[in-house]
Amino acid sequence: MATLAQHAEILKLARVLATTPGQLAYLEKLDAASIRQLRERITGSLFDADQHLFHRVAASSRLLPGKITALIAEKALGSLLCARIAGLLPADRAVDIAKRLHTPFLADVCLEIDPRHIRELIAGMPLDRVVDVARELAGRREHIAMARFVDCLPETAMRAILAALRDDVALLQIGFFVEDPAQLSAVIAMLPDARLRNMIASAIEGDDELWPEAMNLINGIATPQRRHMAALAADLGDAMLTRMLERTHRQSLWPALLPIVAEMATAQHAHLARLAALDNDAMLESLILAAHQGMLWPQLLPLVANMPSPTQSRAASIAERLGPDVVTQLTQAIRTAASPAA
Amino acid sequence: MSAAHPLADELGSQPLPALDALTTAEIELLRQSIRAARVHQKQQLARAFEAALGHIPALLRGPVRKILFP
Repeated sequence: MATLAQHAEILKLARVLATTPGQLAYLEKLDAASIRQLRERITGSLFDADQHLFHRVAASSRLLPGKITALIAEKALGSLLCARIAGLLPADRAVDIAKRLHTPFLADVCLEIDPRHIRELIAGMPLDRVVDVARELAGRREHIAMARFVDCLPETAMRAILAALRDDVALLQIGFFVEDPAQLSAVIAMLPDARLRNMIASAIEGDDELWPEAMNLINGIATPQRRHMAALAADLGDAMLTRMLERTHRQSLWPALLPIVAEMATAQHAHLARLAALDNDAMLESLILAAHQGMLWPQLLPLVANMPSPTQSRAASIAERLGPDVVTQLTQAIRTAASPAA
Repeated sequence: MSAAHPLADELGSQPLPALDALTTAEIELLRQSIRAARVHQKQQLARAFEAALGHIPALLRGPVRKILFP
């Protein structure tokens, strides 16, 4: 089964090839980075194939007033051609034309364009038009296209869009597809705690795709932001934390949650470790197995160290049942936690 | 000297390691998709040029036609 990152890349490539993701299902055997490399090569070759024509359209548009060019762009050229030509025009000319286009059409162009080629055009667009287009794309649930723009938007535009888009779940879904972790970390740093907390809570209570997406996002950002998100998650309250543990257990997602738990403070580890939900053999077994299989003992260690003694004993019994190798590693983890200075 | 990758005609000769994992049949499917996308783009271009000329003021139609179809 394709990972979410592979799925996202196949969707993007399907758009470039004007086909359906189902027609490209055989690409699931490639990793996401390879599919992205293939997409970039194909995008380049499609542009190169008719480059002389794109240059001619760009040159002829210079003869016409911006108002007429905008009319022709929208009524005749269409979104795909406009996307190909936009990067060939001088930025001020492109801005003059783009400002005159209707928002739904601009949104269509955004679906086809490579934002990396139009950074100057994006920077020159009036903020209210940028926000209008973002609203239009969000309304269409075009999260993948929006994520590509996150990598290229100036900070002022990003802040204006974040203020305008109030759907925190949509933000989370866009965040998952952002390609540059540094840019994603910068966006997370712009959001107030209340919204970040709401994103995490919504993911815990959302559908089966949302929680792994949220954890992927948190694990992909810079350490200070990851630590901050982990702290916000830890303070969500017992009921929500219990749901978080149960959901992670049900979806076998401990390898994604343990690195986040490891970023929490000692008091938060103690709180989490004492939740009744963890006093459950099936959950303890899956937690121990995940740590064993993923070599995540250092990440599990703070949680085990803070468990009440009876839960630690149960964990030890489970480890014993799972085999001597697991016992050795768990014992070592407990010893290391008990003597951190050693 | 290493052999050119199987989609060199469509994507240029620079190595593309991702393709090594695909079967011959899958490479052929990909080749057909790329060619179909090129045809689609050319058809869109042709339609767009014709439609665009209809929107241009009569006085400018000549110079624009000269640039588009030298």
